[in-house]
Amino acid sequence: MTRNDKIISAYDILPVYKELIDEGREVKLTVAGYSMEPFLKNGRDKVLLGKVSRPLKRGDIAFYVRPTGQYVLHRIKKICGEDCYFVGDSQIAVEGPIKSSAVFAVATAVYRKDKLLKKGDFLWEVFEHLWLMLLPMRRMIFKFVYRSGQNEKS
Amino acid sequence: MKKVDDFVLREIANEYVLVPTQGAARVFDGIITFNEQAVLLWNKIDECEDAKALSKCLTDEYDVDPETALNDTQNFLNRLLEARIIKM
Repeated sequence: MTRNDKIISAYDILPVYKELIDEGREVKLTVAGYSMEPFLKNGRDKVLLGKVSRPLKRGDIAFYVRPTGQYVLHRIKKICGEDCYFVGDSQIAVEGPIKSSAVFAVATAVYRKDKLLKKGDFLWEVFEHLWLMLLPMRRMIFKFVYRSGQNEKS
Repeated sequence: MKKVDDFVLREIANEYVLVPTQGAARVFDGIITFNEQAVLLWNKIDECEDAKALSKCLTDEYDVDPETALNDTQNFLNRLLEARIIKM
């Protein structure tokens, strides 16, 4: 009576997850997309999401709804009053302003390569603080990493 | 028999799905889809003492013989027990 051959789209399931989070329940979501790499990898890693129960802050991994209705998981770059600015860990361009009321969940922990990481863990702190601080240098870092990869291949 | 509160049944795009939340979300990956018979059993689990009592929901609602209903119910419960979605 249970089946495992059904695919339910994120478009359908995310509003239900939002509803559960709004009720105060914590849910786990598999990362879909590449914008949070290298911290969170598409299809491999999972995020535990909980209701926003404290003031949002720079570095939070926030789950929010764009004015277009699209659900997005990105990191908060900065907060100016009621406005939030976001950027994925693999991105250079900052998105915003978006009203902070659009944020309905924050990551309370992640499963990276099946290992639980939460606030206070080394890698969590590196990405929350250092990697965000290096945003102006990301383009250069990505170029360097890409060239290193090319050199290794040749 | 008792359901674990952390699992929540929701209807998504004409599908019934069981979503793990809270502590269950930490140990259980993915969601489970239910058909209509499974939903019927799920909604009555807390009210029934055993598989036989629960299987009566199926025979009351569907044209199925008691033996088949009991087998199906037992299989369903076993899978939920294995996944720690219900407690005896």
